Amino acid sequence: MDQSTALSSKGINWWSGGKSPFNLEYGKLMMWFFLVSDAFTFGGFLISYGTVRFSQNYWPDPSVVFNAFPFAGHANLPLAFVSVMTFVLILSSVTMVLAVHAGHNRNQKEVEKWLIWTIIGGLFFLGCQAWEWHHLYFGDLPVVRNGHIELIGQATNINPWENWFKAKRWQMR
Amino acid sequence: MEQASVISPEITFEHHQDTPSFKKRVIKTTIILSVITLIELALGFTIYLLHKGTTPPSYSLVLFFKGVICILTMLKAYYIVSVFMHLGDELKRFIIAIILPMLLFVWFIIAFLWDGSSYRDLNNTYNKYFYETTTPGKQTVEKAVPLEPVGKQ
Repeated sequence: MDQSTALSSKGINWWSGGKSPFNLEYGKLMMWFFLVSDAFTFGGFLISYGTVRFSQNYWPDPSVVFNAFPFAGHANLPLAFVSVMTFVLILSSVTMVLAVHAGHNRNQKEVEKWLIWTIIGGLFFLGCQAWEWHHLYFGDLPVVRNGHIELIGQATNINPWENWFKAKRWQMR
Repeated sequence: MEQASVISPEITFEHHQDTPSFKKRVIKTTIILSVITLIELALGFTIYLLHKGTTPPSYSLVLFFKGVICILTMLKAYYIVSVFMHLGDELKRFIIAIILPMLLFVWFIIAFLWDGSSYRDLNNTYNKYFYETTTPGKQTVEKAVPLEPVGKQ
C-alpha cells in the first residue's frame, strides 16, 4: 500500500504514459463508459416519454393506473407494487456488492452464493415487470369521461402472440 | 498488491477493505437507501391523498413534494454509484470524467420537455378539435366508446 500512496501523491505525472492515468484496468474503464452510454440510452427513452406526456392536455394519474398488485384482485393499492420492485432492486444491488467483495477475497463459494441471490432478484424483478405490462395491456383501460377517470373493460382481449404460440406448438408436435 | 500487479503492472490503486468495515459500510448504505425509499413512498402517498380530496390540491405544494422526491432520488443514486458501484473510491479525475457528461441531462431534460410543452400549446391554439377532445371538462362527446377488439376471429 506504500506504493499506492506514493503514486496517488501529487509529484507523479500521470499522463506521461506507461500507466493508466485513471489507475484502472481496461475492462473497468470500459464498463464505466458503457454505463454512461447506457444512462443516456435509458435517459432518451424516459425523456421521450416526458415529451409525449408534456404534449398532452390530459394524462391518466399513474397512482390510479398502477394501483394493482398480483393476486390482490381489484384492490386499490397505489404505489405498493412499485415499492416492492424498488426494494427488490436495492436488495439485488446489495447482493451484487457482496459477491464482488467475496471475489476480492478469492472466496468462490461466497461469490456463487451471492451471485445466485442476485440472479434470483433479477428474475423476480423481470417477472414483476412482465406481470405489470401484461396487466396494463389486458387489464382495465382507464379513460377520461366528463373529466373523470373511468375503467372501461380492457385495452384488448386478444393475445397478439396467441397464434404464434399455437403455430409453434403445432410445429413441435 | 501482488495480485494486482499480475493483472496489469500499472494498476496500483487498490481499494480493498477488510471484511468487517466493508460489511458495516454496506449495511449502513442499505439502511440509508431503505429509509430514503420509505420517505419517498410516504411523500408519494401524500400526493395521492392530496389528489383524492374534493378540492384540487395546491399546485405549488404538489410541485414541492415532487421536487423533494427528485432530490431524494438523486441522493439514492449518489449512494448506489458511490458506494455500491465503488465510483467514490476511484481517482477524482475519473469521477469527473464519468459525472461531467451526465450534465448533458440538464440540457436534455429542459429542451425536450420544453419541446413537448410547446407542441401542446401550438395544438391548443391552432387545433380546436385537439383542445376540446383532450381537455377534461371540455368534451362535447357524452359517452366514451370502448375500443373494438382488434383481430378477433
